[in-house]
Amino acid sequence: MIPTVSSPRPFRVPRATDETLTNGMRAVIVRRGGMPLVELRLRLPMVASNAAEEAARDLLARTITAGTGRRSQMKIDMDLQSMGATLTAGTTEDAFVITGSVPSGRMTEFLALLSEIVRTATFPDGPVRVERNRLAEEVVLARSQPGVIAEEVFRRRMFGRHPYGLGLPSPSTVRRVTGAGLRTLHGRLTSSGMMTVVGDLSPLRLLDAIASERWIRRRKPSRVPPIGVRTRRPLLVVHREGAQQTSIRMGGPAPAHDTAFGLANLVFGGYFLSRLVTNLREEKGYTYSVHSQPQHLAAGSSVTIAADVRTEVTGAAFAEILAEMEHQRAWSDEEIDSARRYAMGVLSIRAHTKAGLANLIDSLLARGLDLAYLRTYLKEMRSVTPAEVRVAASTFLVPSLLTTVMVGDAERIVPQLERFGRVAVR
Amino acid sequence: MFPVQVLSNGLRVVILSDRSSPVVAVSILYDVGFRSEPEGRSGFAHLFEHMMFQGSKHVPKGEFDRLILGNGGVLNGMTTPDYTVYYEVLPSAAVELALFLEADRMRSLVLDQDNLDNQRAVVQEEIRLNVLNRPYGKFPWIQLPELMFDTYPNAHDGYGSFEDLDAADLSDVKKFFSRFYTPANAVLSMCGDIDPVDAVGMAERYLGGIPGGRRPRRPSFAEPVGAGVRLAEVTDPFAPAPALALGYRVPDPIRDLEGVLALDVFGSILTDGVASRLEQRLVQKERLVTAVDAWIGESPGWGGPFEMRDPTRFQISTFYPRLEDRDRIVSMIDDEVERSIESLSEEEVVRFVTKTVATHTRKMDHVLSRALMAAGLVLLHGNVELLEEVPGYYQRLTAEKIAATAQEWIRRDRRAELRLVPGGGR
Repeated sequence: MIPTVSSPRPFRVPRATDETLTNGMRAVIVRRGGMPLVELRLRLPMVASNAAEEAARDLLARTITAGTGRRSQMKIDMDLQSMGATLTAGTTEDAFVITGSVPSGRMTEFLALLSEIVRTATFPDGPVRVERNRLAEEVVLARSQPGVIAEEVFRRRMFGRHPYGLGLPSPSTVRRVTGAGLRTLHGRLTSSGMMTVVGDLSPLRLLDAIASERWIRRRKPSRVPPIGVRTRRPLLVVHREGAQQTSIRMGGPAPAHDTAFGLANLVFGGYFLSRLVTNLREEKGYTYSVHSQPQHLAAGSSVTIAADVRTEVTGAAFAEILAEMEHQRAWSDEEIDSARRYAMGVLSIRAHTKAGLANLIDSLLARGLDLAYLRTYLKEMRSVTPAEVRVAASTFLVPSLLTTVMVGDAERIVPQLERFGRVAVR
Repeated sequence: MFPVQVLSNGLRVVILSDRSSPVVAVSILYDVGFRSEPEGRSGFAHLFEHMMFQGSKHVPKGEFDRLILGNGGVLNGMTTPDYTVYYEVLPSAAVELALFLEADRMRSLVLDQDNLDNQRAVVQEEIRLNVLNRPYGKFPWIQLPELMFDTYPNAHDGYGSFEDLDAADLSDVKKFFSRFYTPANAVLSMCGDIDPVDAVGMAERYLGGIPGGRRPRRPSFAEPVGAGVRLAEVTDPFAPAPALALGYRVPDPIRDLEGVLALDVFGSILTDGVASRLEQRLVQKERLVTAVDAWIGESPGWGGPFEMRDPTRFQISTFYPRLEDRDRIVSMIDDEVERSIESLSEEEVVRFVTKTVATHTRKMDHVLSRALMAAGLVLLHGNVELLEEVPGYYQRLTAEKIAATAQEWIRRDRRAELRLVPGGGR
């Protein structure tokens, strides 16, 4: 009755041209036909060690396109429009990342502009002032969002004084950043970065074009201290006036490149068929959104469980999350195989667009891996046993390793939590 | 492109073959959305969308997700004013499975009280998460239509009131299903790694035998474009800063797509990027606002110019820090709109059009975007060839056409002004 599905065409790991330029920058280029487009990612390692640096990093991303030695902010935007290109800069915990997209015919012109911006951005006072005020206002807006509040509380609790615990810079910290400060920070951008290019152009010609532009000088990248993995106790409740839901966040350490754990996370809370979604959403109706997710960063890997639940079922929902940790040994082989097929299928879907493939390669490079790792990954995906997945789950997804915070209406949720032990309220 | 096929039961089928990656997107659009839900049952079309995942005759609850995700695919549904969409993106080896599942629920959805109660709870948590528990949750997509339109179909909140959701019962669900969820009222599209002739054969095999039903009569939702200004002030308990939205009527997108796209480009000219008019004036020069955006339709992400019937809207929305600046900001917007209409140049239009077309091309790199767009064009415009003509539509726009259309529709004497006042602390 239900059609059987033959085994899917296996994911073909794309062939990449992978070279390190003389200035130390690594370029990974993949040829992909179809729409005449090129997707580019430029990742430059850069870590903030305090709030002031975090503010400066954010502003660096917002103002790196605000002017160069040769072009004004307005001219840069107009040139990008004329090419049909986009160029945006942003930051992750570990890096400064430029994302670009351009019709293939304009690639040479685009690379010249990108190199000019990366090398000679001037951070003029006018645009810096505008962006500084805008960022300060945006921080105020962001901090009124329950998801952002929960994230900040959780990071601070979980990562403590480590840079990953910094969260958003305060508006006053943002307002203290100057153009001169940005120029200094820009001077520290390292060249030991990675560039990913996916497009319908000859990789060798692209490599020549990239190598013929000047990028930044070789510098030693800053190092991030490893994350501490101490579990913080007790459970922390942070009050939010008028909250209609409780944002539950739990987190702990995770292994870096471990296929068994990747599958364990999927079965536990990593996709719609997971135990958490089936139980808390589809059976109990406690929540619309519950999931668990690993995060792999330069200083270490971690896993986060997040659920936004109705205030009056906070205790019940928390009990179910803990109960699902007890049930890991009862996971069936079939549900583990489902997660396996899902992970492999989603890889094909994710990599089918140029932008998706560029993001995939960039995320591998960020973790110190490359496309070759996907072969190992796919092999392990096929060979890892259900028993290994259950062991990975019961090693990491356990209450004793998890730090828990909840943001919501403290008066109504604390009484529901007393049966779980001591609770701190802020 | 393969022409639209109509099966004997009235189901329209569109196939876009692209064998470059082993993935296929399957989507079904039903011609029913918020605008068609009965009075006293606001939010029902969306609640019903959730019921479509609760099991059908040969597919018990949970199996739909299990089969798609467990075979390496992803799936979802979305309710919009004019249609409700269901989709799967999956390895091409699993495409028949998707058709079987879509057919089974179209033919024989199982509707029971427990699932209705559970999904009502899930939907209410979704509304708390996305609307009630956060600042700007209704701004402007729920609040602006309430102000701009007079009739229930156009003015009401598509997420629905909790009272109306609580009032919905099984007989409503059954009636809605038999009236709207028929082959004659739907469009099926497939895009990706599939042979067009095979695909039509599969559609016939799985869906061709479902009794066609009648295409329900769809009332006109048209409302006269009234003269005069409408004004409303709303307080947002969580918002830390004020916001403002101006709403304008636009031509009927089905009868005058060119006019609507002219306004789409006009919106970009006003607010897309540093080189846009309002960004230059309000953000860079006067430094009065944090963000300003203009777009057509429901939200910048969905319900856009190709995804709506008449009436729809053009809106300019802005967030700003100081409440006392409001009237100055409004008069500057008016002034800048008029100035743009008078001074628009061909060079400026070409730049914005180039960017718009490139963005469209990039989006169409994803099989799902192409499948959804094709199905939407067939459902609303009855014309799949439009898919290829989109770039041409934009490229034919002249400064004269855009200015004339903006002059006719973006008028200060014929619009709605929604003022959001912050009730939140900062």
